[in-house]
Amino acid sequence: MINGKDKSDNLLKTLVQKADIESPSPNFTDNVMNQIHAEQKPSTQLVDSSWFKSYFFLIVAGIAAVSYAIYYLVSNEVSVFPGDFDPILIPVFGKILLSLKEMFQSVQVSSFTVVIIIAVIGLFIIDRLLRKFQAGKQTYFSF
Amino acid sequence: MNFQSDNFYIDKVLNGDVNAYASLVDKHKNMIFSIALKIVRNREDAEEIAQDVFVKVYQSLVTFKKESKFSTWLYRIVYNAAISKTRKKNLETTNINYDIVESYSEDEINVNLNRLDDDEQKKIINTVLKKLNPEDYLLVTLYYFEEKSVDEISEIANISQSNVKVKLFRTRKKLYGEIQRLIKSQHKEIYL
Repeated sequence: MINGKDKSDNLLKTLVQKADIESPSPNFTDNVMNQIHAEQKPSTQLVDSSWFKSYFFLIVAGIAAVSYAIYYLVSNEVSVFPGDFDPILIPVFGKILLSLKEMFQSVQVSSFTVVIIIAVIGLFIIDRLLRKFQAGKQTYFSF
Repeated sequence: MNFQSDNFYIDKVLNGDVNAYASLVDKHKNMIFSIALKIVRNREDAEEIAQDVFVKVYQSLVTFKKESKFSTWLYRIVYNAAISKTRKKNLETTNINYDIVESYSEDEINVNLNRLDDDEQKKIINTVLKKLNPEDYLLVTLYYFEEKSVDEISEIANISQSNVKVKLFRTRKKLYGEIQRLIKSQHKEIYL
């Protein structure tokens, strides 16, 4: 048995289904598909291009190598330069390494952990920058 | 045109057949465009929003979990996009004041409506729907035209299920009141 609410619902349903639903322009679907194809092509080409791959891996390898070198020098207290070689820059470099070591010790975090964190943050920033230039994004953190 | 289920096309697109997305666009474009048009009240803006929504949905199709219907997801996106565009442009939506709804009898309206031919009925419902505010229009078209459930409408419009029920009840009253007013005015035109 149909109650009052269902009856009025059915009446409105019949009526509303007779209403005109607006249509977009006839070439709407083509426009959407063209936009999709257009946006796909450049990103695919750029991502697959050899220069992008080589630059990216060079930067990644560079950061990894520098991070490991800093960790190695700091943790083993290795003297990179001979004792008689003492231009202005070497003591400065040595002081930086020492202050880094002190800093790591003062925050009770191992130097290796800090190097890993710095490397991850560095890679993230490079990734954001590359994405920005490749995808033509307007803002630094837009995905 | 007969369409397959949305998931059929989605699977094809995800398997690399980009052109299968055109069928999804064809299937939903009228409803998407209508929702956008009702909110922004400008065909060019509505078409731009609808187009952007379809492109963005394509780009995020991989993230679609199929837990809800594709159309529910799509309608929610276009509704939010159109509302956001309206806010940006500070467009005012003209709401008809329905505070004074005449008392009516649904049976009487039914009888009167049945006396009218299809074209006249169509004209009346088009006039009445045009007077609804965007949210009421969305609720009515989703519930009566698309036959979406209260649960789905709640997800699309981002309001609670009980709120959807209350709003549908009020809108139904407004619609009947307006339909009766239009029928009466038609009768007056005929007999005067």
